[in-house]
Amino acid sequence: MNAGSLEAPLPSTPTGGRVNRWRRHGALYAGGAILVLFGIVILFAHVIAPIDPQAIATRARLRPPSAEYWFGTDRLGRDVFSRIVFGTSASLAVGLAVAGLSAALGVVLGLIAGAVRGVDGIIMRCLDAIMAVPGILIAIAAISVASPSITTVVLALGVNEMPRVARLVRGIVLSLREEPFVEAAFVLGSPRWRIVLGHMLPGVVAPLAVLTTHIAASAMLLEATLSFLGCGLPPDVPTWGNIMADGRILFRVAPWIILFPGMTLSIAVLAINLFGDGLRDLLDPRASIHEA
Amino acid sequence: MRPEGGEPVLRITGLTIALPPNADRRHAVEDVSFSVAAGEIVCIVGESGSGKSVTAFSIMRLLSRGLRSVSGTVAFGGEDLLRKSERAMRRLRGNRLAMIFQEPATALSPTMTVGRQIEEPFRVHTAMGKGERRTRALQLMTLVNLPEPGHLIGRYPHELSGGQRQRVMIAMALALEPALLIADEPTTALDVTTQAQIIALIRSLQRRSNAGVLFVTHDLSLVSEIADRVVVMQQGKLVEEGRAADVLANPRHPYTQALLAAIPGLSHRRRTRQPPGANLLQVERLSKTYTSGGLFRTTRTITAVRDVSLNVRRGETVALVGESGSGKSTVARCIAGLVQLTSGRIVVGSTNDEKRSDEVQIVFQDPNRSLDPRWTVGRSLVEGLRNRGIGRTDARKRAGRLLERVGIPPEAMTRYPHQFSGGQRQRICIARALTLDPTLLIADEAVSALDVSVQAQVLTLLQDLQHDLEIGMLFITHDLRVAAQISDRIAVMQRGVIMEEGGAVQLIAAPQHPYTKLLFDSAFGLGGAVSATEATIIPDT
Repeated sequence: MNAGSLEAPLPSTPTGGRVNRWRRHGALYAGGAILVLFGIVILFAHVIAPIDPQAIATRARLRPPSAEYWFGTDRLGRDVFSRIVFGTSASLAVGLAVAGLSAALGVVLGLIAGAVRGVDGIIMRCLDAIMAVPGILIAIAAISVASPSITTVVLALGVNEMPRVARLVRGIVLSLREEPFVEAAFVLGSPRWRIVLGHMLPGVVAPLAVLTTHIAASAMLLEATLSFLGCGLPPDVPTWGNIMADGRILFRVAPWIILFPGMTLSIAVLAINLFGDGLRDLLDPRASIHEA
Repeated sequence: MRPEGGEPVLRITGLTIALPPNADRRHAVEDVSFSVAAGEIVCIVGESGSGKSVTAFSIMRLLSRGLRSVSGTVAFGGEDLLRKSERAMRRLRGNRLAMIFQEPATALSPTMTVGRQIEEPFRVHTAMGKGERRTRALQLMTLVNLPEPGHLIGRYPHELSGGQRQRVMIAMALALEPALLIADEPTTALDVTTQAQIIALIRSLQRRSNAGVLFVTHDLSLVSEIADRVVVMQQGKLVEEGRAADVLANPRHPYTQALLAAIPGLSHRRRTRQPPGANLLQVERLSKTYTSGGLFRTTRTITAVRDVSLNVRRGETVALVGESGSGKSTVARCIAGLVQLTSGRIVVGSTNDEKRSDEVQIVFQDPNRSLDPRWTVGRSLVEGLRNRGIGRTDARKRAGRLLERVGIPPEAMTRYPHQFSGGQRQRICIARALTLDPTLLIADEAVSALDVSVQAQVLTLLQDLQHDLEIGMLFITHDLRVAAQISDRIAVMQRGVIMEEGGAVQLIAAPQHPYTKLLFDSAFGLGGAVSATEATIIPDT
């Protein structure tokens, strides 16, 4: 038999499929669009907010939403809408920083635990210990020991989320270690660090991107919870959680103080989660490889 | 139609199934028509992607979401299955229509006992009481030759061997005496000796029940064992149909001819060449044991390989043959340095240290997983050379030359593995293994995952390369026919021990050890080995 007669010719690079694939990801676009909107709000906060968020107007206390005060005012007469606009940067910054920090720590620990047999047990048991304590307790403890600042909050929440990342990364590394292409690299004489960084780390990126978006969302919620409980960022910094904390005792008289930041938070968390889900659909290798 | 056959139980007319718009061809199945009579076994034969399994699944209406556009008719019992409601189909499935799947390990539920699963058709489709269901299940288990039914009925699938699991699947399928049994590659995942028993079992049960059987397979050599009629499919089209004996003896379509020619036979097709040179690989009393368990579990020790000694000389091909779990791959992995040996000695050329990448390279079984999906072919090819400190330009030049040598155009360097077929990927893997000028090439089931025509081409390539480069080759395979075709010497392994070793020609002509004989009978004369004893020669372990 002549060679190649029954084998398919070399395929051409697919291009049309990619366009289709992007078109299918409504969630990614919807989430992305809302996040872009929040980005614009952060960048142009001074233009968008009609009133200085710190400005106290004693004559305009606890005003319900109106044409002048869109989201009403709080007990000091501060404009809730302006405070939400200026709080956006702090809330989103906490989310992003916690996601970044936990991803960085988790990837390093996960790669080491997955690739080096000897330290795997030690690292994983330490992470188990962290996971055994409720995250909010760790955060409250950390903040009551150190000063309540954005750095403390980010550190506390980041360390708390890190074991989830490390476990994910370790699991992927362990399964990739059995893959023939990793074994082939070993037989080709590639040093271990190069196998880990070259063959394994790229395999981690897609699921990690999805997980970090969810971490960002839950960090924003946790930050709001901490602020609401009065152990988050200092009360003079406008964050969505702080605004809600302010309105806590006045909920019956002035529900808008809690309602509007709460809704904003929900929309932001929803957007981030949509974005993460869209990302997973896009990056999942099972979805991106054509069925034969 | 079979001369003595009555009404067909199944008649497929003009079946056409469209593929999603961005697939490589428009139809998964195109204008396929054939029928299956009662008491008849019809084989659908074709390579991967030929549409044979899609055809089988469309009868059960189990097609995946992407394949919704189906036209034509599938007439069964006077009604068109394609136009039945999902509810009506549920009443037929497992009742009048039954199916056996390729992989019994995944087709059985891991959380239910074997007995419960065999009883399920009775529970769903009949009003039988609990006691009666259990009695019938036990009867079925006896019917399919499962040992000690009373004992096995309470076991879970993972406690059974592959062959036993497939017997359970068959028992489930036959529970309500279906008029049509669809078997989708039912023996592909099984060892060759088990395969022979399952084939014999399906045949004998089919004779008893007079059911029509649609048997889907990629293996033309099975056709002669089981089929009354055969349907050959290629690229979604039916290219040839006829009585099995006629098609096998006088294939009319070129594709059928090519398929038949590609079946590895008993023939020893080694090219003539100079006698083997110096010793390349020396394995002495290699043993490998695995221990499982730990702090809170009792320790278990499993011996994968025991006291294996073996050598390969320059320019020589040694085949290591065995069924799954025989330890043959563990030997290969020890030699490649992927696994630490427990005791013994491995000397390759002059080195006997752990890292042997200068001397030994390995080609793995699954070409889909052997190349990093995120790396271009070029990057994968130069990995070893770059590790040696060779410059990028030189490395790429050398890789390009090797790609051409294995029959892949060098432009392939910029593409990704998923853009190639399985055979092409395996060629790329071979090229990658050769970049480092190994003196010993290990092929670990390197052609087992390939279609038979592609398999023949890759085997020829391996033989040519080995001849030209005068390297030694250790060829690990479960397939004696492939071993017979390519090797100078054959070593047969069972349960971690080499049972017999000798020159390929002598071993094929006169196998000494009973296990070798059994393997040969199963591989070369399916019918002869089994019909005499009707599938009870060796109990599954």
